[in-house]
Amino acid sequence: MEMYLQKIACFAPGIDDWQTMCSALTGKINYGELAAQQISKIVPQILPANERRRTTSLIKLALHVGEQATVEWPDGAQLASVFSSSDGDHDILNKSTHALTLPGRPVSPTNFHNSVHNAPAGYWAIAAKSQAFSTSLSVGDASFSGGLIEAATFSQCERQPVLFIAYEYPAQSVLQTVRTCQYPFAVAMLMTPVVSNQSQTKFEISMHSEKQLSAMDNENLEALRKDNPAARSLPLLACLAHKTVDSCTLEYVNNTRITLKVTPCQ
Amino acid sequence: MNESILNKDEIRQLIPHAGDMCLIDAVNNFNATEISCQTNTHKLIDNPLRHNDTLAAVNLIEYGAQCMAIHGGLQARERGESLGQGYLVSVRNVILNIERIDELENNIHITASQIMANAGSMMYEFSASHNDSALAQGRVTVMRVV
Repeated sequence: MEMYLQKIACFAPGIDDWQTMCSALTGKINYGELAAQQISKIVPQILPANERRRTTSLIKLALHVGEQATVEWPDGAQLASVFSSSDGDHDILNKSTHALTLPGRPVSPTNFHNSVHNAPAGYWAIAAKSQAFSTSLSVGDASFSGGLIEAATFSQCERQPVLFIAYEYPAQSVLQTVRTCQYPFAVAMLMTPVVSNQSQTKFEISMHSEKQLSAMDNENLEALRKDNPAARSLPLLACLAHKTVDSCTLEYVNNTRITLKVTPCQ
Repeated sequence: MNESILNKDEIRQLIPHAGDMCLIDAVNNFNATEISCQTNTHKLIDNPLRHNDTLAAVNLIEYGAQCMAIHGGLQARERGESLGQGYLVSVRNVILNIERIDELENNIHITASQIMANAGSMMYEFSASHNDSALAQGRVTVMRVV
């Protein structure tokens, strides 16, 4: 299956734009220890202030990369989207479940409103004034590759561009001890089913049963890759940053893997 | 009952599905882009997809996907190859008109039309009917595992 990348955006500890990510991935800057990285405050401009107030760190993270990936796209309202996150919103889960333990079970209406897995997609629709198709899914640790397959099959099936966003934000509560990442990460990819003048890269996606998973050379990027399901995309981002013909293999489900062959368009 | 051009034993040789998981009884017709099949396995008490003593209509997606696999297998055979394993990666635009299919008395007819196929993946539109009334339809994408 083929897809064409028009624009990419990402967010990681110490990294708030694609250029900085490229420098880290190509070794132009040395990406240091995760614990020492500054995590930027995220304020997605695309959302009106009164809506932004109701959002959470996870929602802001997803919208922030989505906004960066579509900044030059002429018709955001018509753009279909796929949102993928393993755990969803730990902050909301923590606040709502905590409220359930209190007398009268005072769950905040705003938190209840935000408790669905497609809350980020809902705020994206408000921000982009979009009624276009949108899917929100979770594929555990394979949430990046699962979301990418969903986005690619939708785009090929409907012959439409698609915005794909994978995002994961750590729990800052007791849930941290259960299952979560330690560091935030998000990536947004604006893709089309056919090549255009703006196409940066061609992806060819194939599926395999036995193939070595790609890893990162830099130990801190490798730690980030292992930490955050959305950061499992890092080997692909490294291929893109090097701007050469290359390929990488990412985990999918049930012991299958997907391989992405990457070919620059210009 | 339509005359079939491929029976169950021949179908089992074409697709990876084995034993009772081979859900399609017969192929009635096929060409380069379309296949039409029929089955009676929805009524079987030992249908492996039965759950809580019923066979939910959502399982028609699997029936549709097996028709795709048979079509892929027929095409592979024409090229002198065999069909490898596939992974159902996406199901879209599914419409189910009923809740359960195990009580349907007659054969279910299923057609699958190819939208796209290449070395790594194939996309089909399927529809299922019983006594000429539509049961289900949808779009299924399968990626080949190599």
